[in-house]
Amino acid sequence: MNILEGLFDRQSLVDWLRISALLTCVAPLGGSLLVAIIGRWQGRWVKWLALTAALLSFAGGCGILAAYRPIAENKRILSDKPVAPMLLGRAELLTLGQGEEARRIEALWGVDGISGVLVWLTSLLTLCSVLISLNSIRERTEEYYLLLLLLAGVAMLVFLAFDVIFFYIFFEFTLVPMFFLIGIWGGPERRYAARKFFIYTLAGSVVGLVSLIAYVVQVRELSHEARLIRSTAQARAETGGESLTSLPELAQIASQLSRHLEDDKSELRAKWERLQKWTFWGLFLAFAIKVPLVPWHTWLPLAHVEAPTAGSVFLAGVLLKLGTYGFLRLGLPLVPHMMAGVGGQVLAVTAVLGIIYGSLCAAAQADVKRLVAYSSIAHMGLCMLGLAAGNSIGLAGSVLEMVNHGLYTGGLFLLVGMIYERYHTRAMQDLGGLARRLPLWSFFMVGISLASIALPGLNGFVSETLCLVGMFRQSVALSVLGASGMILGAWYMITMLRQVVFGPIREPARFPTSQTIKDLDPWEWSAIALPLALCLALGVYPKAFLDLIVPDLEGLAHLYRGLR
Amino acid sequence: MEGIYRSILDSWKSALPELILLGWAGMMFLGSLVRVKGSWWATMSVGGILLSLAIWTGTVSPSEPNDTIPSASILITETWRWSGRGLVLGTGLLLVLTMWSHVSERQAGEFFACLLSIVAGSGLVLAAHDLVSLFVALEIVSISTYIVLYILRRDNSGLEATIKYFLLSLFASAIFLFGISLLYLAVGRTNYQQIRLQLLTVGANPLVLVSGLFVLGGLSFRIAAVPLHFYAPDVFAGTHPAGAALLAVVPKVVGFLAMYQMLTEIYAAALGVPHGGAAVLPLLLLTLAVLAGASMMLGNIGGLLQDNIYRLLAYSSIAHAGYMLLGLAAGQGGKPVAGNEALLFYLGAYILMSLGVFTGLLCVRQGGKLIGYLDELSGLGRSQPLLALAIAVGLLSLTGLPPTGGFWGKVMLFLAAWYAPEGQTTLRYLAIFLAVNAAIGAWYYLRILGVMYLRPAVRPFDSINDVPARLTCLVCTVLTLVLFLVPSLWWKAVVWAFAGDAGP
Repeated sequence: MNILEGLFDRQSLVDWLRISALLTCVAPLGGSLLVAIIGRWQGRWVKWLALTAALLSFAGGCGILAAYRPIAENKRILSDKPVAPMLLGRAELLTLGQGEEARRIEALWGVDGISGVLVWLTSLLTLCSVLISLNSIRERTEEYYLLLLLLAGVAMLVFLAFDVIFFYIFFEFTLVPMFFLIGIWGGPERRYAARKFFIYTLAGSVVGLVSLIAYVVQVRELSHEARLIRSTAQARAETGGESLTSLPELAQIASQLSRHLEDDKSELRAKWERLQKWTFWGLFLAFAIKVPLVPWHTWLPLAHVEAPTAGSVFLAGVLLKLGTYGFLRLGLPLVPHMMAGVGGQVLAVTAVLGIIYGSLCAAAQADVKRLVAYSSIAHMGLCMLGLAAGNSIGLAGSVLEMVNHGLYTGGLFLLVGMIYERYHTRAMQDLGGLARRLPLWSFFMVGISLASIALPGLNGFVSETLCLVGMFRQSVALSVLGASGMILGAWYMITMLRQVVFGPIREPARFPTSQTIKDLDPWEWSAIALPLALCLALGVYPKAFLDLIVPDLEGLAHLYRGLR
Repeated sequence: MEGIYRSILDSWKSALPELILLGWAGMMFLGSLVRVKGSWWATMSVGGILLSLAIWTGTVSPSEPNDTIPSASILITETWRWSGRGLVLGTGLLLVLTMWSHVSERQAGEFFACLLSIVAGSGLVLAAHDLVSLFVALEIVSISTYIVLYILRRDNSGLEATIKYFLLSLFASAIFLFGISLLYLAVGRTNYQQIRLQLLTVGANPLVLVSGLFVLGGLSFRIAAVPLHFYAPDVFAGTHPAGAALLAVVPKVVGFLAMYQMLTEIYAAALGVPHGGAAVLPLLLLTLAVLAGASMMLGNIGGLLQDNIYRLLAYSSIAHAGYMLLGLAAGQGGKPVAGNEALLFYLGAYILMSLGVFTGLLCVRQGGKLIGYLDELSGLGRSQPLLALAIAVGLLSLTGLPPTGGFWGKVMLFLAAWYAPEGQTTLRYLAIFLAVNAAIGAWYYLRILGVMYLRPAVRPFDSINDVPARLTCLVCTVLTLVLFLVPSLWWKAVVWAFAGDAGP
């Protein structure tokens, strides 16, 4: 990677970054548009087109990581800038007011380490989703790939957006394609599942929008009152003008306000805390439903079980991350006192609740897909635990857990989908001893399950340990309780493995001779090999990603060191 | 007496486009004795509106109209009034296209003449600068609407709907009339400017406040807001869908801008009156906020229970009246986003999305009949994907989701609630309430989407060739998407329209 640095100067690195980021999100969006145009009369080309788009997008995602690496190494950490991405472009959407009072709402996009790895993850899971769908989706294929690629492109844009309105637009828009993916290609309860997923998430996020708008309006009034206005020229140089909703600028204002009002006992400080309190609860509603934190999780098992395989992969791998990413990107920098105080405690406690409750539910399931769905709640709880810790170890663990969870849970859903494709059942009592019937599948199943259990040497171990260590510094009790998730995880995953993969062969009665059941075909094989390889790689050498992530978390961690 | 004639004579220039449109409609009434094809009359009315639009473009006042105090004329032109009239004319054009192929040949002449009268009357409402001219203009709109509804559908349910609308509209007009009579009782003048002057000399009078309540109550019929909202579901479902489309948009524009006009030009003037005058406008705005909350809640809860798609859209229309009332209640003067600006922005987006949905539904037919129930839309997404997409865009916009204009509409309302200079806390709670309501409303919009896309077709859909309605639908859908991508176009126009209007 350092060769890149030798070859290119900084400016051309930024150009590379821009090109890769554009490729990553334009490839699926463009692919989706092309499918919409040619799909009607060239139906059989559609899936190859989708595959090409996904491959291009993944290439772009790898390009982002490669180009960002030298930038991350040389990153100068400014303590008063909790969010300092490499901004790649802006487009003005609206100007409110005139002259001095003008406030712009603009589409601001950029990359930093956190969004870089998440975009990369999205592009990887897009590729896996397309690969797994090649043979399993047989009806309405053109609409299917159209929606899948659209979803992928929009999800990437969420990570690339550095303007809160822009972020929100894409955050919200992911609901629409996902609604149709679940509702059209899902299982028997699909319509109910799709609707519940949509309404639940929307209800949270609309309230989130109001609180965001309230925040952007009022935080500026506060900073005026606190006489914190930086000179216009300086502001323009740093963040590109008085943008109303630019995230880096808002984060900077919030961190300055917190520092400025630290020992202040005035009315102003009370106002600032009141604003944070309201905003936090609004954001909490939006993101806690998305993560999901127990008890707002009830949409998730349903949506996961009913969604088609690629839908589940995407839902678990990417859409849940939008919730944690939201907490990380908007929650931590914008409402620091809340996140360092009551809010953080609420998050940590609900996270622990989610870990234990999710694990116990997972242990009680008879349906493998449902088990994976509940395990997902537990793992997201661990991720939130690291995030609530607010120190650099916890945050790094949390971001890494987002990636890792995407890899292994995505992989698990892929594997469960493959079994369902063969036996049309996911019930554990109908399946057994598949190691002899499907050796290749069983190999991947065991490998990915071990990653999910957090076996040392695989990726889950690294990130979950970091999350727990981070939390250990804040609260020993919560950390210990959270660690039970890893033990419970081993329990339910190994029980499932023993039942399904090992032991005497058991197959549903409809398949007596099982001559028709074949092991993985090359497409399935390639869809699952990549996640497993990456689980292993990130387990052995997590530094590859930590180096990208950590510099961008320093500003936040610094802010929180000051608050505690 | 001479003064009155003088002011009437002075005024005709201010409303030239509408007066010409009225004249055009009159010619069509006379000409309707001649039997020609229905589309000929439709073409005529498109011509009339285009002519009127051309004149309208010419009448934009060259100097800043707000420098000078509006005269004693009964009709005046100001930038916001001028812009609102343009909006009405544009809506009228879309409505003519919507109705194009839904009128029997024999009635086409009268029908389109009435439609033009509605458009002209709405324009006159916006130009009114006198209580009497305002009332007359409002009645031109109402009376023509009765006829339009009657001609469009004349079976039992259509008649029931028309009668219901007729009686309740009369009732609402009476309330409104009572309100302005009380105002006249208090100040003894009908001209806005003279009312303002008189208010200052007469001093505070509780009648002014009471008249304001009656005026707002009467006008709430037109925007289908609580307390006079209850006719909407029955009338929307009973009348022809094209008539429902008309009722969903035109009275909303008329009602909201008439409310705005009364509030800013009369009741805001009471602010300067000693001994309690300052309480009038805040109290009226508070009333509006309460009505807004009630309308949202009622509309959305009601919408959840419907199986008839037009009843559902009627409840949606009530809920949207509530949303927009938030903009009206936020008042003027908020910087950089004022309530009135958010209101006008939302009105534009609302016209596009409503007409998009209604005209889309007009193009759906089964067994030669228009559909009425939600289930009948089953499988539309498969058999007519483009039409379903257009309806879906409209519905997403009504929900307030990106990528549609409705999203920015809601953002503007929220911003206005937070930038509002007074009565902030109420408005802020109301904005949160709006967000919760938008989520409730999403349930029934989503139901329509679900029926269209997630269910197989029960009966085959006819392939029909209603080109004008399809064209309207296309225009509305495309503009809804454009409004999302380039919101600044419409926003700049809105800001320009209100620029210079002194806040209360």
